[in-house]
Amino acid sequence: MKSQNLVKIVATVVGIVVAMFFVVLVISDPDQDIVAQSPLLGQPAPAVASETIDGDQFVLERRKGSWVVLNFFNSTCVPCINEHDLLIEFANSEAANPNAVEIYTIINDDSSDAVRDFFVKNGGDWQKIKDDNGAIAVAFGVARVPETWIIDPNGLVRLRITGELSPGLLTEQVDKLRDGFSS
Amino acid sequence: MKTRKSVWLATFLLVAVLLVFGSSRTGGPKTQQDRIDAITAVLACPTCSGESVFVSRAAAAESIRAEVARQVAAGLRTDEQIMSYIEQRFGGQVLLVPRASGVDALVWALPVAALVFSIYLLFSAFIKKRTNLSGELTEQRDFLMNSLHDLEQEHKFGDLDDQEFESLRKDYESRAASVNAQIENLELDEQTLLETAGPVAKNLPRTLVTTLVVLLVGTLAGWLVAKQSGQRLAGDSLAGSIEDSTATILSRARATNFVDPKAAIELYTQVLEVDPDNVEALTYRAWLLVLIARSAGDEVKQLAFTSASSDLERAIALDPDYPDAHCFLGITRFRLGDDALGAKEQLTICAAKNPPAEVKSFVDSIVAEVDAALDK
Repeated sequence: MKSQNLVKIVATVVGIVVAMFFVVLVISDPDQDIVAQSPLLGQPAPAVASETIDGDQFVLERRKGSWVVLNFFNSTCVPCINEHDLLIEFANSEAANPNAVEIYTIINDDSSDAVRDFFVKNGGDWQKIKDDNGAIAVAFGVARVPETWIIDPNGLVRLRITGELSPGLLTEQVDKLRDGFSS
Repeated sequence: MKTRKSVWLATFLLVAVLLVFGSSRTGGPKTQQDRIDAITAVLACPTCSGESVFVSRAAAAESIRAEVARQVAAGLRTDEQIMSYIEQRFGGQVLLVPRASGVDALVWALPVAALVFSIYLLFSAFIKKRTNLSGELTEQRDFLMNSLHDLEQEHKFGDLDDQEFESLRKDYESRAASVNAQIENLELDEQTLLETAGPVAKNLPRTLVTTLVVLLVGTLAGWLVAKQSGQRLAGDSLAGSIEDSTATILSRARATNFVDPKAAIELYTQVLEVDPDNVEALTYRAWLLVLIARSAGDEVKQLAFTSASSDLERAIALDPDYPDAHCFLGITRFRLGDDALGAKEQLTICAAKNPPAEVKSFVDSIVAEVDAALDK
């Protein structure tokens, strides 16, 4: 009798645990937000040292003191092409700001020439950083482009946006972060 | 009896020793390619379904493979640290083998613990069944003994003839002897089981203690299996190296630069103790010293000027392209050294090297003053 009771208790506990897992699975909503999670958020940005397609040296650490936007880009990726005008719009809106955000394109699995041609044709005068072996993408955990990252003047990763930017999203997020940073 | 007990104990010890040995095993020497293959084989391609980085040809997988190869070639990190580096960038889903620690370890530990506990429950149920069987046989024996007694009474009163009585008596006695033998065997087995396992049937405290022991053994076995089979990662920081922990301190120092300059100076000094050539720490410690000394007396200003100039010049020598050091040296020369010409030289280099916005704001506020001093 006692062992039967024990079996019943164990079965009930296991049943409750399984039911709880099931409930969690049912009620949890897959993360559809464009603002994505990353273990890097709130952490110092990974060390990045590379060069631009024009041969200038680029060291991310040296940009501490500025807000930095890194946009992982490929000239053949449709969402990257789609969001390009929004990036230009954002860059233009920042131009007059004394605390302007610096934008950098990180070339992902693409040739420097193809990227140069794309920018000549479509505009955008910010620097384009080479990432020939994908080290920068791996350092940030970027698997698919486009991705946009925001780094604060203390060198901490503040935001990750996966996928194509929507109109006004970048401005809204940067303003929110900048306000929070200065207050 | 004692022999059976010893066998159980020996089996348990053997299993425990094997598990401990297995969980602490170390691999032999590997070539760099072996290491790269081994690491990439247990990493999931982040853009494919069910493929490892080792087999995938996707761009993301190739980038990870290249990064693993670069880190293996650099020889600064262990396999676990490299996997940890990748996992901390792409998240836990990049590990094909669940981790041996944290919640993931339950994947390994729970089935083993459940198996051990199930065996215990089966064992208990088996003992109970045997106890029930013993009761049935006792009833059967009593019935046969009663029947034998009735038979003798019937024969005594002449209801049965001698031949019939003898035939039935032999049959009853034979059956009773058989049942007796079964009962004796069962009692022997049961006693052995009671001695070795401590069944649920005994009493409640003993049952609880036994259950706890079984749970403990199950948990221990699960832990050992998790430790042996789970993915072992280095428990280091996000960055996983001195360089990266330095980055964390530098970020903290940056955040306190103008809130608590003395605390920031301590943090920069901390960085310089680990990495004496850290250009950022040299530059910003010097700059904060200058800012603090500005409101001090001449003697302190002179000391600060000498110390800060020395650190800033060292930073420039280490990294001539670092704009911040040039900018701050220019400001220091002008504010504390009354050297407008030397200041102008450094501020010009600073402007050419595109300083970040925060530094540029300091420079913009002084350029006009420096130019005016030079025009005099």
